[in-house]
Parts: sequence; C-alpha cells; structure tokens
Amino acid sequence: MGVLKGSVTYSKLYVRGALPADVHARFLERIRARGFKPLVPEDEDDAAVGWVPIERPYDDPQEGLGLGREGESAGSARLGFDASGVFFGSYLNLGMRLDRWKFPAALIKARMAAAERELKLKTGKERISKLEKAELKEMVLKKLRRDGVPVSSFADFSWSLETGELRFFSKSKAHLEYFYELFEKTFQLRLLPSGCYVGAVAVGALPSQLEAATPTPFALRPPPSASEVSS
Amino acid sequence: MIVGMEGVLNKLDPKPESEEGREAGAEGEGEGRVSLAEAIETRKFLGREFLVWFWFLTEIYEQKLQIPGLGEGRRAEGEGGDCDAWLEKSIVFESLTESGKEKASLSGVAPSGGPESREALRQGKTPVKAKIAIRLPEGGRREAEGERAGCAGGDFSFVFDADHYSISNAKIPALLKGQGDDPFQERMTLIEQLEGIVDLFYQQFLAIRVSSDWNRVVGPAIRSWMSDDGSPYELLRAKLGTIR
Repeated sequence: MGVLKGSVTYSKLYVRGALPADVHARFLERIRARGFKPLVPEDEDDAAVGWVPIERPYDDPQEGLGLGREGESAGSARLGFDASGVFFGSYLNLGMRLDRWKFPAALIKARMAAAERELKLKTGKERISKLEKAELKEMVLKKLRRDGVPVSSFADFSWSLETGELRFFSKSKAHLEYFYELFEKTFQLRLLPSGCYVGAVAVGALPSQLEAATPTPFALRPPPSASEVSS
Repeated sequence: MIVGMEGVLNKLDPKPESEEGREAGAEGEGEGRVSLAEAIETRKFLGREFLVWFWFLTEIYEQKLQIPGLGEGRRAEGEGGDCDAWLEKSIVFESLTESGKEKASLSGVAPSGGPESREALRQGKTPVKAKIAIRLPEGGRREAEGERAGCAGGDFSFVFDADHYSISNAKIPALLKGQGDDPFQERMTLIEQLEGIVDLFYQQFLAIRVSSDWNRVVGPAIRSWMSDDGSPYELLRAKLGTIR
C-alpha cells in the first residue's frame, strides 16, 4: 500500500524500452486484459496474479454489484480500470494482487491420514498405492480449497512515464518474481533492478571506472582464520 | 548531475533492442567489459564503502553536512545545501571469513557512535545496513521547491541497504500543507526528494572513490578515524579539505 500510504519500503527498478504513442489507451487495454481474476477451488493453478486498482485491491469481481460502465467487460469494469484511477499526472500507479492457496503442512497431513483411514475402511485394503495416495491428496486439497479462502497479498507500484523510474512497494522475493513476469507480459517492456552499480551509472559514474574499482581493505588487522576462531 | 533514464540505459546497454545485447547484458565501452549481471553482482562493495564514507563524514563533521548540489543556482557555486545527518538505532555489519559469513548487529540510541562499531570495522566487517536520519532546514523547502533533490525541509529517516543501494522503512515529513490537494503527488515528491539526496551523496562519494584522492587522502583518513588514534576531527577535516 506504499503508493498512497503506509510504509515507504520499495524496490527501485528502471523500465527499458519505448512507450507506445497512444500510451494511455494502449496500457489501459493491456491492464484490463491482465486484471486480477480470483482463484476458484476447481482451478489447477495454486496462485492467481493480476492487476488491481491501488485504491480498491480487494474488490473481487464476483463481489461487485455489477454497476460497471456499459461496454466494459464485467470484471474489469468492477475493478475500476479507468484512466483517472491509473494515471496520476505523468505516473502510472497500479496494484498487483497475488492470491495463493496455502494450507499448513500439519493440516494437510492430518486430513490425509483421515482420508487414508477412510479409504482403508471402505476398501478393506491394508496398504494404499502411490497412485491412490496422489488421488487422495488431490481430493483433500480440493476440499480444503472449497472450505477455505486463499491467502491474499498486495503490492503496488508507481511508474514515472517521464523518467522510466519505477518504485515497487515491496521487497518480497515472491512478489518481485510475479511482478517482473506480469509487468513484462503486460507492457512488453523490460525491467532492470537498481542497485550499487546501476545506481552509480544513474548518478553519472562511468561503467569502465566502476569496473576498475576494487574493494578497499579497511581492516586494520586481518580477520581471524578458521583455526583461530575454533581455538 | 543525475543522468536521465535514457542516459543510464545507453551507458549500460547501447543496443537494448538487439538479441545479442540482451543476452550479453551490457557491452558498454568496448572489449573486455564485464557483463551487466556480473557488474551488478561484483560492485556491491561500493554500497558498503559508501555507507562507511557517509558514516565517517557524519562523525567528523559532527552531523553537519552539505548536500552537494542542493539549491544549485540559488547558492554560490560549489556550496551545497546544509543538513544534519546521523546514523541511529541500528547498524548491521558483515564480513566474509574462511569460516563463512560473520554478522554483527548493534542496536541502541546511536550504536554507530559506540566503540563496538569501529571495532567491527577494524576487524574487517563492513556495514551492510544502517538506519540513517537526515534533517533538512525549513528554508530548503522554499529554495528548491520542485527540484528533484531539494524542496521540503523536515526530518527523514530510513534504513539503507548497502548491498542493494536501497531504501526501506523510510519516514518522510508530514505531507506539505497548502501546497496543493494531491496527496499522491506530494508523497511522491518527498520520496523522490529523499532518494535524490541519497543519490547526490552517492554521486559525491563515487567522484572521490574513482579518483586518486580516495587512496591518497580519504582512505587513510577513514583508517585514522577507525583506529581511534587520537587524531582530532579538526585535523581529519583539514586533510579532507575541499575534496569531501
């Protein structure tokens, strides 16, 4: 929730590539195409990821009242992807929602044990084959999914279309992995993470000078060797 | 000068559209250049050295620093904006030894001022994370409003991750009052301002780091400060002269 409020913790990235001429229309179309669609228990996927408006990340399409504008697809209309909710001056602001089915391993284990007992009773078998175990696991997970709700998380970003700088308000590795993929597929542009080297070039340092630099030995005495540490 | 995005990409990858260029990362300025991925991975030490240098400056200048370039055009050439800057609350050191990675975390009101911190440096550990506070005078807001690095006065604090040159848990001043009715724009201005200040210090550090002054003057001054050899800060400041 960093774009509008909350903790200012972000990963800085640079967007590489040229923007299309009709940037607002083209990007809105692409954002709508990859808008968030909630997980359903019958899906094979363990995770669902997609774009959501930064101000209403948890407005699921099926929870809406169907008041979207005429001509828009139901889901995207309810998710509110209009230009004023995405473009803030020269910035593009958007949220990424990631829903995943996640159940404690102990719960799955307990449910599996119960299901195996039930199957043994029903079939009179002493042992259960690997295939039967796999089928049972699938049934157990489906039941858990029907009875539960996915674990939902959200991270937003602000992208300056003028400078190409993008701040993704999360440092979670999982968020970043999903974000890179979703962003690059949606906008057909590439992302470059900032860091000591890229940040140095961004403030005017020459790559050749940076590459020639070697670490400064600040230590006034060498670090203890392994044998010294153990003795 | 902070170079524009186009400039950054041109330097890193002169042919971003070519498949070859993409595969190789960066070609840059000729033969023998390392790939972009390798450069990113192997130049992380610059972030740690930047943090040591910044910490050193805050101590020997007793928290009174000049932000290079802040208020440029409104102040005399060569003079930057003033600020108070210090390290506070937590600092984390790391070193690589034969037995693996060693980590030391110190926390308190100002752990960087304690003897343990400089002892960690003396043992070859370098800071990987530290909480930094920067206080800008109120006047700065009027002087440089709208500029990337200059504008609102107030207190900023953040955790600086040296290996990734990144900011987290930043506290920015309360949103500007009476400067418009767009909280997003104001928030982003403050975030960019903070980032701009860090970038200006990094830029200053790098200019010295790649020059002969680093090994000739700055490195020995930092070692003298680290060793607590009794050199008065005044003497260290005189040694640095105008190159800081």
